[in-house]
Amino acid sequence: MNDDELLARLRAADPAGETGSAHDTGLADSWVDDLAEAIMKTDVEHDVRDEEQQGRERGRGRAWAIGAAAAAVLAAGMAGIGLGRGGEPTPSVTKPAAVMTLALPGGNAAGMCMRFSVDGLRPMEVALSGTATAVADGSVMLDVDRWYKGGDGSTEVRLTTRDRSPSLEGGVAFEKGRRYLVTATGGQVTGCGFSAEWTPDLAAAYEQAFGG
Amino acid sequence: MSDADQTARFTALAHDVATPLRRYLVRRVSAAAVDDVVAEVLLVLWRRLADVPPDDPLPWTYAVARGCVANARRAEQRHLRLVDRLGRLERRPALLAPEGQSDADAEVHAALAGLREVDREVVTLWAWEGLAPREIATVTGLTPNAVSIRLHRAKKALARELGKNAPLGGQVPDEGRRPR
Repeated sequence: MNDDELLARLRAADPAGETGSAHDTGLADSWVDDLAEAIMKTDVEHDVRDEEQQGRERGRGRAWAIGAAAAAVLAAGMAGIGLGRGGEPTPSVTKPAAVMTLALPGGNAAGMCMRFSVDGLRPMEVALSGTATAVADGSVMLDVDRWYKGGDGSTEVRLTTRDRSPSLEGGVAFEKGRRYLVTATGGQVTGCGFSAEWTPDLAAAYEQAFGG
Repeated sequence: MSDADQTARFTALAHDVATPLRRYLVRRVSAAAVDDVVAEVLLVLWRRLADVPPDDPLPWTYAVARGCVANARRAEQRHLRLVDRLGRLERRPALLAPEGQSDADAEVHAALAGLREVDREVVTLWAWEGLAPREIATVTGLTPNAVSIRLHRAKKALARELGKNAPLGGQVPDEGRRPR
């Protein structure tokens, strides 16, 4: 069997093999417009509310509201658009998202560093990739884009520290908009290079440790 | 970027990625979860609009979707564990085998199920999403070289499992072949 024959077998068994045509219709454009609008509108509304209620947990409820709005849009907009062999879409509502809290190592923490290795990553209880959305005295909020391990359904993670400026061991300061790879065990973020700003090499190590 | 520019860019981005994203998800999560995960992925894209590569946003979008799919599966597993307290837990397959499929398709899905998760993702991104190795690398976080090795290995394993262990060529799809 050559590549083309294998490709043909795989594509014939594609679960989404019959979904293409419906999305080429004008109705497909309509559901995308409605969903995009719902996401932008709901997110902005919650940003305004967040500013009015400083001190309350950011994000809690927002994902639920956006999920609910988006689910409603999709349920309405996708009516009549088949999911191929997957069946009809079932309207559903995203559950409110919790925020996982992890403690950063203190800036004065001293101790032996284990040499970085993929084997050293594997025992970590929590591993994630996320982008810093807010950096404040004593805490950082990460918007999680991937749970490698130990995710509890949270879409955001709060990293806390007693220090004014949250940072990782080695003086890696958090910066809003930057993406990080973080591991933790026992609720404590691990340093020593096991948590750091996202790089392709570190992401590949996480993938090797937790991905397969 | 002004609010109007952001709105216009996100709307255009949503149109670019929504249909292939939906197909990606139909292949990997239950029909009941597809709508929620589409919304989750687009929300991440909206919040991280500045990070989305403007020239080729799809692999980046699949990378976000991959994380959301993993979350959805974990949530589903937790739900199943709560429901099935007698330990009769059945792990949901990582890929969705359509109901009423032919024997030939069932054989393909069984062969895919025998691969490691990463290898299965690599080979389905190649076959179903039509991505090239460097794009698969963006999705999975692997290096392009590692992707090529895994892809070659997975194709060999599939060909062997499907009972036709003929020599494989080195052809890989380019972006122009994306089925989306």
